[in-house]
Amino acid sequence: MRWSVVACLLAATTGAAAGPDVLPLQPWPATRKPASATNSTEALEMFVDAIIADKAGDLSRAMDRYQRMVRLAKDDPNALYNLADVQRRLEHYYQAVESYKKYLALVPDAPDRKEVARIIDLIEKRPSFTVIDGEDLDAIVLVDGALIGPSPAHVFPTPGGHTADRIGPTSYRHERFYVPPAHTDHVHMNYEEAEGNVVMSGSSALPLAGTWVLEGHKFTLPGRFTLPPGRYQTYVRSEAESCNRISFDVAKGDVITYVYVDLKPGQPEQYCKPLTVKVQKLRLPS
Amino acid sequence: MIRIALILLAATGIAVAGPDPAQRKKAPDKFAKAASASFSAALAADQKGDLPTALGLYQKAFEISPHPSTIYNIADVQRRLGKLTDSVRSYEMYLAIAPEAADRRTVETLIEKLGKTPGSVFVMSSRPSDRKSIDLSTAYVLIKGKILFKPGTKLVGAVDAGDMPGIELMLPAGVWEIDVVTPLTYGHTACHVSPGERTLCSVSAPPRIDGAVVVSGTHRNTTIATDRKTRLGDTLMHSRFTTKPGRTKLHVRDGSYECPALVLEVPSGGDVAFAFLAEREPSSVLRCRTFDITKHRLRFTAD
Repeated sequence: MRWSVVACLLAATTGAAAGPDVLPLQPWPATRKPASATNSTEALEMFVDAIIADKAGDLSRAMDRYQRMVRLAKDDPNALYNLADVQRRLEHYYQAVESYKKYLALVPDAPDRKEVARIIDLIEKRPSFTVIDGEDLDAIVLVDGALIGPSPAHVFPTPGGHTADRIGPTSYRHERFYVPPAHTDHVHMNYEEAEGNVVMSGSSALPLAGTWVLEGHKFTLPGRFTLPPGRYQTYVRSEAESCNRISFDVAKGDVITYVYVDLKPGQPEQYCKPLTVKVQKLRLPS
Repeated sequence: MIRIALILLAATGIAVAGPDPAQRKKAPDKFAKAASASFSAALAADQKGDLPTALGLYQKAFEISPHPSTIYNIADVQRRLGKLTDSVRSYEMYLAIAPEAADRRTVETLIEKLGKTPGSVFVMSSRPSDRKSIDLSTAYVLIKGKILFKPGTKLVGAVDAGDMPGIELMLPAGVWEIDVVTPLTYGHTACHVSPGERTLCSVSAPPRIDGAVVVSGTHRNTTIATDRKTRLGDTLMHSRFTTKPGRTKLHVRDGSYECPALVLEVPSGGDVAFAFLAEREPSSVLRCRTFDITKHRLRFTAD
């Protein structure tokens, strides 16, 4: 699928593990432990509720019942294990790891200790996952200057700082977001009205942002604005703050010229910023 | 003669569970005196064929002193009484309090078999005197997005429905979204079918709802809108509405997550574009779930 290929390309450039359209760790069948014989009738009723809900596919209800049972049964290890399993299948990975760890703490000599430790390790080392979406139709999403595809976008960014740009027929929004390791996140980009045939954006490492006028043309970073077709050479924000100018061509027609500015790597710290630029011609979905 | 639709049943390949003989466990060795008395009385009633009395006495014995043998027998009686949902629950309780039971595998297989027993469903509308009554003979009746009956279907009466005209079905246990679309209106209901049990599902609708589009689906958390300014809580899911003919894109949200747009070809004239969204993932995950989308053009006008 086309957008999977793009996501993989993004992963390759940002150093993330290549991610398919579905999350890693899925599908993974349910594993359930039986109730402990010492549980009270009330706790057992909760347990049975949870099992029946789980088998019916109502994982939210199953999770709720296991959580209640854990409170009733004073941290029953098997209930904790089953709770962790449901949380994992709900993709609530942080909570799943917490529950698996509590299980191991309660039964240090559990026969499946190694397997549970392996599951924890698998979850903790999974790639981070971020959903990037918004409100208007026919928008596209770019992450760190790379086109992902139509919104919503599902990406697997490496831990660290990133930028997202969401361009719609009458909107543009730019966000910077930070990704911790093995993290699931939702970057919702509110609708911000904007029109124009040029979008200028920059990496999370770029400290420059703002609006400036050069030779009668107004530029904004990050921003969306209109420029007549032709070639442009500009600094970013001010001549003094940019070690070099960047160049790009604005195309004719129903095309958006996307200009992504970054810092040249490996340069010594200095007042002016050494800039690189990547330019793409984008069309919105019809 | 009552016509029973086995379409869905055949599609799923599920067989109807026949009546199995009683399978009781003997009274356990250690038993409180009171529970033992109830258990013995239950056993006697069961052997005489008085299942309701046997059930009550077994339940009493279990409440006095929970024991695997007692709950197993409760499950068995419930099964023979046709109370399959209760029976499944009781068998699960048996497994919960006897995790090392030697017959665990057998009971798990039985639970699965009972759970898959289809239920009998009668789809009907309210009495003609009710202004919200729908004439099902003029309707498309869709179940989980599949067209089951078209206008002109011959309806049957059901005694337990007061001889109201309707449609007989056999459906696997679960929740079934039933949509009824007529030239004038649209109605929807979620029908809860229990294994081996009889359910009457009534659908009604205002006398007139205009629009050439109907969107339905399986989940309450899905929002459908024609524009992004729709307020939280407002949704066109399970509704019939008007939008201009031609290719149209609808906003879809799954909880707080944006989903790919729903694209429909909206007809002009009297036909209706119908779309049904069924989520693949059964519960809330941290993204827009994947939807299987079924679309139909419901024709009410001659070609």
